[in-house]
Amino acid sequence: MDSVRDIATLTALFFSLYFEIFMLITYLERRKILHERVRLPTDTHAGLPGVTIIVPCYNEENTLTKTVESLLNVDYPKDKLHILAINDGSTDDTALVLKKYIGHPQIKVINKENGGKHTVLNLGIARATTDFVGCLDADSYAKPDALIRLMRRFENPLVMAVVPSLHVSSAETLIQKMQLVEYVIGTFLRSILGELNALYVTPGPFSIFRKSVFETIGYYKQAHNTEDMEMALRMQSHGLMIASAHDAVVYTSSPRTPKTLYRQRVRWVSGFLNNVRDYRHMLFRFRYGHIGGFILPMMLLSTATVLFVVSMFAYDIFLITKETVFRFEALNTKIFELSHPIWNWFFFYTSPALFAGAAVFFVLLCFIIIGATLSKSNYRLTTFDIACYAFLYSLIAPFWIIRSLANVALRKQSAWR
Amino acid sequence: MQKDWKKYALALAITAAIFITAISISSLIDNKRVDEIRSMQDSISLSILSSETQFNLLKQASCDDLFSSELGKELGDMSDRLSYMESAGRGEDPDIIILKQYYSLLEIKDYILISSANKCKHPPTIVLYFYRADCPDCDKQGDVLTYIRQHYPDNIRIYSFDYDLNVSAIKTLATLYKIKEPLPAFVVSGKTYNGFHSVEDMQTLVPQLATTSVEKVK
Repeated sequence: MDSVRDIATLTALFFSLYFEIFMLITYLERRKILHERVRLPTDTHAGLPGVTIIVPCYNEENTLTKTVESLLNVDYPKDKLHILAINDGSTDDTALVLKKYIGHPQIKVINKENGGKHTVLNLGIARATTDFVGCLDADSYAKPDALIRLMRRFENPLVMAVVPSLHVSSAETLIQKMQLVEYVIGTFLRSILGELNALYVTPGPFSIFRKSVFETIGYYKQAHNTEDMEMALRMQSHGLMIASAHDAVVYTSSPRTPKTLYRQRVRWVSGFLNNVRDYRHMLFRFRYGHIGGFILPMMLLSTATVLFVVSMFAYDIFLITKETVFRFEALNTKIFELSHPIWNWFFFYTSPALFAGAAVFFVLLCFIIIGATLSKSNYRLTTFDIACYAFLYSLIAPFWIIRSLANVALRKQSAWR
Repeated sequence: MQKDWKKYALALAITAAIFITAISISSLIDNKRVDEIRSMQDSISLSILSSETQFNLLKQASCDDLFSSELGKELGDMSDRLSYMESAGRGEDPDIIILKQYYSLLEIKDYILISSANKCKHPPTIVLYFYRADCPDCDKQGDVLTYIRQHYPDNIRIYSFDYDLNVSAIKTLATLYKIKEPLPAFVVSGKTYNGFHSVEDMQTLVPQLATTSVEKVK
């Protein structure tokens, strides 16, 4: 039992480290281009194409104004930027908030019956008159130079969609501080996945598409409440290139409490698993590039790894508790009078898994540092944030992963909010 | 794509190199552990040999040397390290088994020496303790004996023997004192007892433990 377990642990660590090293090598190959992109100035407006940004609003009376204002403040020629605010049958005062924008030269307001986010996007895409179309969720706002940086990636005619670098808009609670670090790692991974042409999600906040994409491979469809993931996978399965503009910073509101975070993540992870099941023909096929041959299988494996590590951890806790209770029987309170030579090096835990795990963690720290230099958010990460991430994340992530796996196994739908 | 295959191979090579380093460091430290146990064993066997030689020369060894709590502590430390190695999953390791056999023989030698020194005042009470690896009550008994060893280093000397260890001297000792299952079993002042005994039970068996106040633990 013990040796089987040791081998499984080392195998899981091996694959994690392999994935990390692969990403790190890709970064080293492309580091010049990646860092140059951040330094490029954004002052030339000539030749920028027209773009329509859809703002889906469903009960967003509180955050809507900030999102629309951030779009109006975006550094982009006014006659080239069209905003399409679509009210998806909100039951609050969203319609009232939108009313003040009616007649604005850049903004078009549409009220429709509630039909879900993908119906909003499809309506917006159909109404868009520009060659480029994107979306900005009403809980997100963009840095002024973000759109120019995104659009610049379309200078490559092969690029069909561009995703920004997402950051947490406020970090007040511990749960948010944890996500701060998580999003920085996300930025690093997305910029590398972009270089590998292996992005598997075009996030709702400020991903921009060529309109021709939807004419070629079809519009959004209902897909396990993660329509943005389905669209990216559909594009990848048709060989359409998705690029990452890690220099384009978009802030998005993040769950404040463990409960809301849990719900969001159950939706994400269940959606990921369900979508990958729908696109399983891509798995282990290098015909679809790195995403099919390597990245998606790796992501699935990491889900399984978390499950394995957690069950082992729970098993350990059970054994230790059992033994402590058992030993307590022998000595009662005298057990505290036993002197343990724990500070002698001899008794330190020095298994190969410890050193391999340290290597995995060290490379992850590199990702955080590189991610922070690749995209300049308003927040400076502190050691405390990283500590929050390291301890809190490993403590709570297993819960949503287990729930998601259960949902997928039982074919249960996860709620949006 | 040619270049990409190279990258997959390079990543594999680097990962493998890191893993080999991790495994090497770990086994290096493990070897240092075995070395430390060996050097403890050398020091203990030197002490015993010195007492033994003195005993042979004068037909009487210095009681202070014989009963030195230092030697008892060293034996205890070595036993701690051996049981750590067992709990770290190296119980089947031939190196460790040999060290355990050696340790058992050193214990028996020390035991013979101490029991022959009958002219000394205040000799420590001798406990011979028999256990085996897969015996839950033995773990408990081990804790109780560790407690006693740590708290009364001068009054008691405990020799513990793995009943399943392939050392004929242990078998002889067990036959001599008519040790029977179930384990744990121990011999106090020549009498054999079976089953778990708490600290209080031990204090009844060894009156010295009850009367002496608890010593300071280092």
